[in-house]
Amino acid sequence: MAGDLISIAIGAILVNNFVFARFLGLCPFFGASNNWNNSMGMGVMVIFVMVCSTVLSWLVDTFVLIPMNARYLENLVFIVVIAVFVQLVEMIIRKYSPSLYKSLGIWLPLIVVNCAVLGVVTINAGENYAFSQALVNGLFSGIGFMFALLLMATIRERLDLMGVPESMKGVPIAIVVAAGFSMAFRAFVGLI
Amino acid sequence: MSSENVSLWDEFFKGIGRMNPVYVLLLGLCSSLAITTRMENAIVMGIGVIFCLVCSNIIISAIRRFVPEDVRIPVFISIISGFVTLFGFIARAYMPAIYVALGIYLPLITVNCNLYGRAEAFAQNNPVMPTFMDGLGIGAGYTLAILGIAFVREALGFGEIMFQDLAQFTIKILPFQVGVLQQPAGGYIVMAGYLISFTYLSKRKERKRKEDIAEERKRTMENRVKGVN
Repeated sequence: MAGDLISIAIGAILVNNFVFARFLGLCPFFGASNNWNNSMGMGVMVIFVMVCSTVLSWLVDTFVLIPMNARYLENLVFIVVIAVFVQLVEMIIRKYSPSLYKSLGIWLPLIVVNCAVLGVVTINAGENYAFSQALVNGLFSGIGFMFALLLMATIRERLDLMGVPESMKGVPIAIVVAAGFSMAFRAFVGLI
Repeated sequence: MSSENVSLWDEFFKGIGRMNPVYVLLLGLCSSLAITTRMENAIVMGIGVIFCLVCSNIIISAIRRFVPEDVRIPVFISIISGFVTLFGFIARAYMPAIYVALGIYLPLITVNCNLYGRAEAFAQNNPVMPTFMDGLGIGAGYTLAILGIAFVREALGFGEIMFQDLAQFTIKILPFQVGVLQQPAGGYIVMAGYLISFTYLSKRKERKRKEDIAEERKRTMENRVKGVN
């Protein structure tokens, strides 16, 4: 059981990294990876939302959709669960901690339409993961996403100081860098 | 009437060129990199995005006056998700092999930034007809863009173009395979190639236009000076 969980965790961070192998969450990835602070904020928020929506959607899936034989509605139900949860968190943070809202809250509305969150939930449902497996998958996929963001941010901060050709400035050079990372992450395939 | 027609076509063509969702707006990158290993998958994905985008845009535009600002995100996204679920059923029934190949990326059309982006940026402020053309244009631009990526990746990566589900044929193109293009990295490489060339071309065009304007201004100035003398 523990070995199974460890292999899910390693798989989620390295082998099937959301950004470099599965291509999920690219919009916020290229949007927020331009400096270290943005990457930290986005990464922390994504991990938080991913873990919570994994738990919520697992509960909904197991106790509502499967008994009612309505798994074909998964997509609709999951995205509504995520959207409502995120909206709720936004309201709570805005009310009780304006400073936290200022630093992290701006990422929240973006996260609803982040494919990574719905992606991890869909993968959990598709693989019929048990609760512990789903939780580990959600947590470590989020960590993998943040890891990718931070890796990218370190490189892009340096790229700002380099003489990049004019037509490659910004996102194009970031995609070239991502291609390099993606090839490097390919080496982890044999791990599990 | 004719001017209205012109503006409707403009809504359509801006999605293909000036506001291409993949190469200019950089939206919907996830699916356009993930499923472009085969042309066939890209075609079905494109049809799916056009279908969901147009239908959900029309509904969102039709109900735009009745949706309160605060709850618009859940409302829009559940409309979009409804059409995505519907398209999932259609694809599963008629194209089972492609349905399996697309995997989780088909349900993830729901969170394709293009759909929500158009709802937020266009459909919620515009009447039905322009919204319809806008959705069609953005969808067509997206489809053309991913077909371009998929063509390069399949032709070079597998050395052949192979259709199995929509039609049945194989076209040999290369006697060898460029393996890296089949892998996830290949998506990034081809995407970067396209993006850099398009940015280069548009920058060059803009520079040329600026030079033309400067030239024109210089000439009129000279003429004016001559006229005074």
